[in-house]
Amino acid sequence: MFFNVEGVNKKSEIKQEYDIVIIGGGPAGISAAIYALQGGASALVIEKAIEGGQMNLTDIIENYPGFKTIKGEELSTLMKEHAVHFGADFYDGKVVELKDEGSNKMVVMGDGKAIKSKAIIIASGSNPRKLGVKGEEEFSSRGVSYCASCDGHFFKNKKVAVVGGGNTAVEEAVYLSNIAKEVYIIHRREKLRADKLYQDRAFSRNNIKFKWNSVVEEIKGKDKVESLVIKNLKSGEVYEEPFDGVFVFIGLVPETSFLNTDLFDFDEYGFLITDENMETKVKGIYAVGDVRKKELRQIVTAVSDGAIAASHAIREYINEDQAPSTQSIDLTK
Amino acid sequence: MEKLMDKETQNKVKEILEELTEPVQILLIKNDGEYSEIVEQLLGELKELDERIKVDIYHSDSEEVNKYDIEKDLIPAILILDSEGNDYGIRYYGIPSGYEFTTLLQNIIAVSNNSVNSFSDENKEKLSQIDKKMRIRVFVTPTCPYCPRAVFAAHQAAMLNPNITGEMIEANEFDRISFEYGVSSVPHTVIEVKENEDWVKKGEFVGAYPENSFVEEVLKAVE
Repeated sequence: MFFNVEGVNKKSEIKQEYDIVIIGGGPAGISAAIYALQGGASALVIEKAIEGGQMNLTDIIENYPGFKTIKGEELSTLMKEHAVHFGADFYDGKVVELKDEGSNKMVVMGDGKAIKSKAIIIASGSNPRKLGVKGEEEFSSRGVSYCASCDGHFFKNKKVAVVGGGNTAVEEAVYLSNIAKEVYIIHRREKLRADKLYQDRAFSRNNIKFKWNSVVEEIKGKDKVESLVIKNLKSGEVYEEPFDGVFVFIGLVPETSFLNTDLFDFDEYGFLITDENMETKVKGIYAVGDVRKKELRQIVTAVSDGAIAASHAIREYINEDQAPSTQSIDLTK
Repeated sequence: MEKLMDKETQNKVKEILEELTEPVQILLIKNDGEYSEIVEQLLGELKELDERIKVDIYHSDSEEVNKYDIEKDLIPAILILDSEGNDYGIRYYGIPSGYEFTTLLQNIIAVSNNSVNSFSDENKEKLSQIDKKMRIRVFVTPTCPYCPRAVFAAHQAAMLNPNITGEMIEANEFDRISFEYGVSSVPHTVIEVKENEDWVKKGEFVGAYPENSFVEEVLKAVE
C-alpha cells in the first residue's frame, strides 16, 4: 500500500515573470527546470494533471540508470522533489495560449493567469493514440481503456485484449496478466517491437497469448465490451471473439492543442520538429520529451532533451552576454 | 504493528499539515471488515502527526451514526468536519490510499482553513446557486494518478454548497455498486439529484475534467 502526497503542495502563489516557463511536469520538464535553476535562471513548471506525467502510469521502471527497479510513482516524486529542492515553482494549471513578442514570451493559462518569460520549454507530452475503429468511442470507459494501472482491477479473472506490440503494450500486458484470467496481445506484425526483456517476460506467462498479424476491426457489445471483430492480415480471415475488455497501446498523439499550428513545424504525426538544441522554429521556444519528433521516447531521452533545452536557453536568451561565439569561423578556407 | 506510512511519508505529511489553521475532526464509521481496520490504523497514524487532527470512530451499528447522512452499505466511511462539528458533505467510502491520500490531506487543509481554491469566483457563484440536493459520486482506484483531481473537485463543490455531497468511492472495495454503475474506467463521476426521496442519475463523465467542464456538467444536472 502506498501513500502519495505529491499532489498536495502545489504552489498557487507564483510570480508574474520567470526566466523560463516550462509547460508540462513530466521527466523532460522537470529536468529542464533543474538545469535552468542550476544555471541561475528562475523556472516555473506548469502541470495540468500530475507531476511525473506518464511515469505515474508505469508500474515498474527498469531502464532509468541508477534505479535497477523503481515504481513510476516513486520516480515521479523523487524528480519533483529534486526540482523543488533547487527552487522550482510548480503551478497547477492548463496552458491555453502562447504569445511571442520577440524577446518576451507570454504563457496564458485557463484560469486567466498570464506569465511572462524569456524562454518557453514545451514539455507537454502526449496522449494515447486511439484505434479509430467502430465501437471504440461508444465503449470508451465501458471496457475500452488506455490505462492499465487505472482500470486493470475491473478485469479480475476476465479475458482482455491488449492491442499493440511495443514496450508499453507488452509491459502492460504483463501487468494485466497478474489480474486478468487471460490476456491476448493483438499485434499487426508477426513479432513484437518491444525490448527483449519485456518480450521474454510476456512469453513466459502462461496466460498471455498472441494473435499475430492481426488487427481489431470493430468493438462490439450491448452496454459494455463483449466481443472484438479481429482480422488476420495474412489469411484475410475475419472473425468475432468474446472479450471483456480491450486495452489500447498503439502509440502516442502529441499534446499540442494549445499551439498555433502555423508558427511551428510538425512531422506527419503532429510531433514538434526542433533543431539539435531542442529549439523550435520560433526562437526561444523549445520542445522536449514525448511531444518532440524523435526516435526513442523514454525517460532517459526526455531528461536529456530537457537538459539540452534549458542550458541552450540560458546561454542564448538569459545570460546573453555570456554567450560563446558561434560565428565567423570558416573551416573550409 | 507495522506502520502503514513509512518514516519519510510521515515527515512529508507533517510538513504539509503545517498549513492547518484550525483543528479538524475526522469521523470514521467502521464495521468489522479488514478495510475498516486499515482505515482505522491510517487515521490513527495521521492523528499522531498533528495534534490538531482529532479522530472519532463509530461502529456502523451504533446509534451515533444516525446523526450523519452516510451510505451505510459503503463502510468504511470517512467524514471530515471542522472544529465545531460542521459537516461539509465530504465523504470517503473505502481506503483513501495511493493517489487518493493526496485528496485526504487536501481536504483536511481545506476544512481547517475553510477555503475553496479549486474554482474561480464566477464558478463558485454558479455552484453556490444549486438549490437541489445533489451527490457527486466519484469512483476511483488507488493506482489512478488522474483520479484525485476529480475527487477533489467533487469535494470542493460540496464545501461550497450545503446541498452538495461529494463522494469518493473506492471501486475495488465496492465492486457491486461499481458494477451497477457500469464503472470500468476511472475516474468515473456520476451526478445524482434527489427527486421525491430518490436519487436520480442526471449525468456522468469519465476522466478528470478541467474546472470549467466540471462545473458545466454539474450545472447541466440541475437544468
